[in-house]
Amino acid sequence: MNARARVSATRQQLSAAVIAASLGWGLAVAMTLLLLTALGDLAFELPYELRAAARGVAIFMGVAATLVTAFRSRGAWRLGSVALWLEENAPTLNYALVTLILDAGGSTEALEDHVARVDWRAPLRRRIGRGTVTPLLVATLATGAFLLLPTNALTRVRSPRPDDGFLAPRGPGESSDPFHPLQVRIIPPAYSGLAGRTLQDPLAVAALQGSRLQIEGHASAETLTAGVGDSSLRVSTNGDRWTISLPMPARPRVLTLTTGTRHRLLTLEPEPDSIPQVHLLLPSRDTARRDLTGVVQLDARARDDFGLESAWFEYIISSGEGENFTFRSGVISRRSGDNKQSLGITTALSLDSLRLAGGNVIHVRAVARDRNTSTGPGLAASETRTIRILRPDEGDSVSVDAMAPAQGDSSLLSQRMLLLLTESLQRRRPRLRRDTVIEESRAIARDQSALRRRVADVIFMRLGGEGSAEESEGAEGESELTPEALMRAASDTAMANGGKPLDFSEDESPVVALNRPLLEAYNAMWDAGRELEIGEPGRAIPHMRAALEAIQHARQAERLYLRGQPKPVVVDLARVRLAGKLTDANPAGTGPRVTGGETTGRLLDRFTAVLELLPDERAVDSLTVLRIDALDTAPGFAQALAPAIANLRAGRDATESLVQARRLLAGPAATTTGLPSWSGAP
Amino acid sequence: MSEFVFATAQYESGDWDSAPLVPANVIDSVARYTSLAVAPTGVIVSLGSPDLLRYPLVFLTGHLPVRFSQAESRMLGELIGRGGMLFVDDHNHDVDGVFHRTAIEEIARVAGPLNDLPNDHPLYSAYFHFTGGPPTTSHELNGWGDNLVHKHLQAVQREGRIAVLYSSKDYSSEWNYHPETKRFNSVDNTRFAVNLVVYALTR
Repeated sequence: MNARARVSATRQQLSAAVIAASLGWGLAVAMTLLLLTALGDLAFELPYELRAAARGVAIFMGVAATLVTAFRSRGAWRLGSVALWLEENAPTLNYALVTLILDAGGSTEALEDHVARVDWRAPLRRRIGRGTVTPLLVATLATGAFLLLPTNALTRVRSPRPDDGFLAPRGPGESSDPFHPLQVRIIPPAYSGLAGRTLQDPLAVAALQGSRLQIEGHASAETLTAGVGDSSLRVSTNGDRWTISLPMPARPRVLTLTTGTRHRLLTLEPEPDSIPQVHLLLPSRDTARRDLTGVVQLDARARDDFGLESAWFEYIISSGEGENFTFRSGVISRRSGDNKQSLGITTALSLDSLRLAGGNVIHVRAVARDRNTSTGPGLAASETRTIRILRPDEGDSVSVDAMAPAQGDSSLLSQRMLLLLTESLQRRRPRLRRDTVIEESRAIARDQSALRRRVADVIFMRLGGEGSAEESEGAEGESELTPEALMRAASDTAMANGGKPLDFSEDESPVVALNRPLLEAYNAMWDAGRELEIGEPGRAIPHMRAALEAIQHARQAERLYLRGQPKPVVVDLARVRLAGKLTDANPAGTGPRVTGGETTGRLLDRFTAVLELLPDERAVDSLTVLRIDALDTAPGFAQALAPAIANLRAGRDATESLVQARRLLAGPAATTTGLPSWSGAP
Repeated sequence: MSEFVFATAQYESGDWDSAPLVPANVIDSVARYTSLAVAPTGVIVSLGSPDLLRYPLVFLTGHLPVRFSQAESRMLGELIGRGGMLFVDDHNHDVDGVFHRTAIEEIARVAGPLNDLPNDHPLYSAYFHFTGGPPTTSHELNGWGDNLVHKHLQAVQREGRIAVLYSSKDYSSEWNYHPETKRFNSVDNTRFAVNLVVYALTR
């Protein structure tokens, strides 16, 4: 056999090895994918769509692996490439083989002799072994592992069907328990995007509200009954299987399965779809403004556990006061949620377009709706922010509610101005004489003192006090009230205003809770004033900065329009219950009406007793007898009774005529010298 | 036994203090017709405050849109869960008004949907007997607001008792006068308030 024939034989062997390796890799890849799918299916109950796709993907990847492997080893098909490979793996050839195969010249006999002396079977065997053993081993292991899986698991991957499950057919030696094995397939509502899953022999089934449950088992459907609560369920059969299909109830229920004397309970636990969470980020707080134009930035974020359908802003504009209110409402910036779990909406609300007037209140909130088409849609809204447009005359009268913004703003500017003056004085201080420093510092101290009294005014006004304790106690320009005294006085004012304060946290006094920032500002101003009085502007600056910061905090922390506290009406219970002292009662010591003597009193007693019988028919007879008795002694009363009796006999309302009759019998109202001390209501 | 204290709910979104004389009038009637121990003046309690849970009956009214904050929703749920009762009255006497629309929306969110209360419900016989259901108000009879005489009150019931009672009849206007002027009425129109209090305390 010459060299060319030997190389040709080698090429055939290598080609066969390449084909085997390619097929081996293809099979290994495909079977590994199928094995992983089956294992995943066993663990997570993969949906039908995924399993069907996995089979196609496995075939495609197997073919691809085969082709790639074959392509990468394409040199095995060409004689020259094989010769080069032999030269590489058998160096003793000394390029004699390549020279022969490529016909590159030289002595053919000498080359043939040289090649004939070289044996390359060993490297060839190693190459074929390495190239084919690994893929064939992997393919064998994957196939073996796949075939060792349970039959129904193999079937679910090999031939997936939409309605297949893990419920295995009962073997001849298996238990005759009709409820074992039991399989529950959960099909979540489509909007959730959740995958279906199957439970084997569960005691309880927890699933999203709106899911459909398919319960399967082995038993004769003719003897099997199923029910949830008082309602029974239809049982259908398919071969040796029974199937019950029901929606997940809205509330936890127990499913009862009964056949013969055996029964099984299955708890159905619905998991509700949460409504969206909506947060209004801007505006961050309620506010009041004077201008009717401009833009208010709105910003909100919405989240949902499965996906949002849409989100938008709603506004209501209320106009009017007292008993006359009108409303307008609208929706702006509606945005599709695109099934996202989180969505932000932002827009600018143009006040010009709302045709606002003074006294209007704009209520703004963000609303979001989820995609729950099963039990929803879930609709949720953020907290509402209000933007109040001030009336033009608001603030002109002392009877209006205390307006924190105006007070706070003016205090803020003044405090900032005083701070600038003090800082300027401190910078100039090295160049000034001590007397000048003290003089200018005390001037600032006087302004600081005046500003402090204004803050005290605000505190008192908001607590319902009629004026500043500082103003009333101190002389003009001089303050006698310490911070502690101010707090005590403010507290006294709050408690003396009747009843409890509106609202305050548990750990603080009402005064501190309501006015904390302003009290901080007040205290800081007090400290600053003291330093300025002794001509130490540098030491006053930190306190002044603290006061400025506290005022800013007060502006931001509180609602800007506080309502007044209505004056409570205290009911005199003893007086209402007629349980007052004798000296407080009517001096006459009699009832409110004058009775007409003993006969009339007896008639009144009988009449009252008869009224107790109403609406019984006996009352009509009794009234008739009473009328006859009264004809002599109280003719007016008897005459008034006639229409009452007629109305009662006809089944009509006799209240008015009975009241008139009673008034006649009771006599006219008593007159006294003074006002009665009780109201006399029935 | 502690005395009954009439509580008016203060909420953030609207004019909660639009009927300031109703508490005194209700207290007057409770004192006048019953022997219940009653505080001589009502209190104002923030709907978002834990203090709300001290009161078995809480009165809420207003004209403006009602939007409960998270704290208010939470405390209202607590109140109802613990057996308290919220009486909501539309001071706007307008069934399609914004108070009505927003209040029932908020109540549904916090407590559940409102349903018509049958006119033979024990509420109407808890003290005085109102055989025709809730007494009408002058606003209804005069055709103000929605121009309707509402035949029923609405309620959210929990375990057989009223948790939230909702009225479109505008008792807030009907009862919002000083109790001293009650003597001029031929019929005391606040008697139904006694039923409310007695029902809230006994059921």
